[in-house]
Amino acid sequence: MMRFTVGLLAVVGMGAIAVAQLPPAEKTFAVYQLPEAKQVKLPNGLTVLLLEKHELPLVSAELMLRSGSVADPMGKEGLGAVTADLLRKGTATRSAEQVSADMDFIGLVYSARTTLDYTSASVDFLKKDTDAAMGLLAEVVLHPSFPEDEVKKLVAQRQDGLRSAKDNPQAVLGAYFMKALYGAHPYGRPAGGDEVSVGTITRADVAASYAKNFTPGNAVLAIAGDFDGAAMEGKVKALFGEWKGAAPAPVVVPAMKPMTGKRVVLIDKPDATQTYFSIGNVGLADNSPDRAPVEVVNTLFGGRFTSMFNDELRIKSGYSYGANSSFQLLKAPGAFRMTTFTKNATTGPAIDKSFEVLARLHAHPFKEEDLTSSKNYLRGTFPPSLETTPSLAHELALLSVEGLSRKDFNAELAAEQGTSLVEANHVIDADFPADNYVMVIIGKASEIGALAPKYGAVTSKKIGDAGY
Amino acid sequence: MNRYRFRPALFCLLSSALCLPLAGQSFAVQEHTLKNGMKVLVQEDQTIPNVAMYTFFRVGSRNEHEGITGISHFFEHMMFNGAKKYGHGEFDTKMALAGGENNAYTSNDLTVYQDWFPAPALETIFDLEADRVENLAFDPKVIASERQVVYSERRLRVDNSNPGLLNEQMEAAAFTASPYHWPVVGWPTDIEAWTMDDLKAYFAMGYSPSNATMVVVGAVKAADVFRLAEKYMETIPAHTPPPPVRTKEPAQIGERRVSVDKFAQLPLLEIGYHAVDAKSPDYYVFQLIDNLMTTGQSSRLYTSLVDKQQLAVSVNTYMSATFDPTLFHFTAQPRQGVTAETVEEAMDVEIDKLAAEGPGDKELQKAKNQAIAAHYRGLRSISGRAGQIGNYEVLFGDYHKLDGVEQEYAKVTAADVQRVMKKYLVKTNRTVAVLVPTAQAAVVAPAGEAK
Repeated sequence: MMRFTVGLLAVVGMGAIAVAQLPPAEKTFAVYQLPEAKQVKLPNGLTVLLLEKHELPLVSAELMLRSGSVADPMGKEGLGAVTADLLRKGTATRSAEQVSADMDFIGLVYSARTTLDYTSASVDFLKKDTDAAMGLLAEVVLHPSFPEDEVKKLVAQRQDGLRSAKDNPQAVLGAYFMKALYGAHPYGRPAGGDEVSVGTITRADVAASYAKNFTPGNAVLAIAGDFDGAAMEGKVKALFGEWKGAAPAPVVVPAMKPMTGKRVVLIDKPDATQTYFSIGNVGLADNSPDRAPVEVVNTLFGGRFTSMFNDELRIKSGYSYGANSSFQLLKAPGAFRMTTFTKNATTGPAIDKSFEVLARLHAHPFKEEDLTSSKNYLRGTFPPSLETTPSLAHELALLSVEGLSRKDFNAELAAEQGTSLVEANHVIDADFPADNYVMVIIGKASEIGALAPKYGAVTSKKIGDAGY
Repeated sequence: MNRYRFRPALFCLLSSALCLPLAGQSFAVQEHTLKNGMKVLVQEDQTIPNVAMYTFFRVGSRNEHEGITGISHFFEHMMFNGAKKYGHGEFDTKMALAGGENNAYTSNDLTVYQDWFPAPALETIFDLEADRVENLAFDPKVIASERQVVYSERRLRVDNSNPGLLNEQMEAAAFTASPYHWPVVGWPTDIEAWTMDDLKAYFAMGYSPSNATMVVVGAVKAADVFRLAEKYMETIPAHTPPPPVRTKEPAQIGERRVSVDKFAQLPLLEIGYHAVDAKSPDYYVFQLIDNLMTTGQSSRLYTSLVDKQQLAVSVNTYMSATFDPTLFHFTAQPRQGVTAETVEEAMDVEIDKLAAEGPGDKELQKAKNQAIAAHYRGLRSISGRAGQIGNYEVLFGDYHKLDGVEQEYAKVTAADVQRVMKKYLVKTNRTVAVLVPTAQAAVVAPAGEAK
């Protein structure tokens, strides 16, 4: 049992409470600076980033593609994710069993993930196993064989995994929300697919997706940890130098404008004793000049434990164990969401309270000291987020895929610290929804359904229905 | 939840070791015991300019009794809700202003408070911690509100979570006498009923520095930490320690079966075998059995149930480190159209096989390699180290044992694996819990829930 769930809620602060003056020392801790990685571009187009970190004998590597699930063909949602999951299920020289046995023998942690914007395979290992681990990463990325029976097995497993996720409202609320907000736009199509779309995926689809997207020109390999830079560079050239293929034409994701009107999607889960809901609209793209002030403002609004939203829904009213808001930053404008949950009986009051908090934000409630608290919090809590080699390798790869530099990264953190009250109020008006929104509710329709029309035009679904 | 993109989502917080024999460097732990009995452990590490401060109170749900189940967890929450110097909400706002954040968790055995902050905030954090340990406020309004928050957490983790609900029912059946019988979050009617007197008495029993161990890891000087601990904590009086938990679980003498009928897309299975506590020499053998069974896609249960027979979407095993003997758990998510009973039978075949044949040499070495790699990953952040130093000190009895983990794994033999399996992983010693999907929604809310 935890006080709150990381990820469900980032944590803290609101200016409603007077805070004692702090000693000056506490205002002097530095803004984080991303360490400098060595960047090498191989003749085949692969971008390699190397960051030596010698405190512990551990190494992490992440190979990231500049293609995510938005590259999945219509009706084949989940193809990229299935392809990534199949990399380890047999290669030119090893069966799936052999790959697993060799990975497990060295205590390797291997993972593949697919998001809207990128796909990656990563390994985390002990320094003494560097040759074996990097060899395995290269083998599954460069030479997967996609055996027919493994494709069939994985597709069927994934379908049941998607079905079982619907027993957990928190696990699927995001997918329902994105579908409700974006519809047929690429961001409305689930990165992991749904029970129906995944079922249509064949070996031919997988092979085509792999051939198109898994190319050195489309990839970044970031490695962080305890190694000698020159030796690792040589190893990478030996393992990945012969890989061939140009980058595919980037998928152009159209920028969706925030929707107008008020829409409600109600998903009936007849056994629910608690209602889970999200309210939001289209927000920012990752290249928005508003990023830094939005981070400072959203921290105060719903990004930390003492945020306005959590303060109202948890601390003051006791309606919920947690309430938070987030901006999803993608190549095209992503979603802004406010999310919380409450027992069936207080569903209406909790929704009303959420809108009250949003209205209060639009009345420009912040003072200079609130911004100071947000900036201190952002600055002080940042270093642990990039303390370990997997987090560093991931961040380096992500920056490169986004086309951003270390300078951009450091400038962003500095800009947060420079956010003025004028800028904060500007982004409240420009980037936080006011009158237009989509609301997605998962709950017991027989008990809470009558409330829904009050908030907009209602579309009703059942949790057991295929898809989102 | 996506966080803002320049702010990487926190990976599972993991970290490095006290004295990594293969690291070529070691982080020494320095210790100091205050006059009131609170032990303070410090590991200086200047790698990042931050600090993790974890305070372990030796009080958890095992110290409760029927009528006040969940009260330890409630205190986990109440400790953030105001004291004498800093009122309701100020603990969090002051910490945020100082650049810090916090969390806490409660288990059957412990309540652990976690603070993460930039090094210059050290004294502020001590000031905040001392205030709540010495002078916690008991405001009836705040208590009423927090009761609802805790109930919401129960709905999140248990009532609206099929694995959570099944686990609660399984443990309630597996433990008949031990206080591990009730859930850490508490029974619903207890959450709604504990009184102000219950709260005050419980606080006096469990929340004294004399019942706590503090671990501080990061960009600090041990001398500064000890000085501040003396300044802020040493003046808080020691209390009588909580009364020993006398009731031990009697040996199980026959399989128990539990069924939960509930609206669901798919069934679930959980099996719990009575096992050992953290100080048992067999603790590490169980951790290797855990790896042999379900760690990685070459593990026995993954290979057989998920891959070859296609009976389960996923399988897992785990055993926690605890004061009293706990359970070794098997969980599985059956595939659509497969019953939990079919998965159970297939699982039994694998359990019997490993008990009869034992692991091969290379297979056992693999399990050890996985355990050691995971151990080092668990020590690679200041948070991971603070957690592990505290766990070893409090649950295993001495933080120095962290240095011996690799040796503990090294000495386990295939015969040990067979011996432990034959002794513990037998049907008469287990509770099998099955979630059976129903088309109709069963009423999960207990009688008496406020509407």
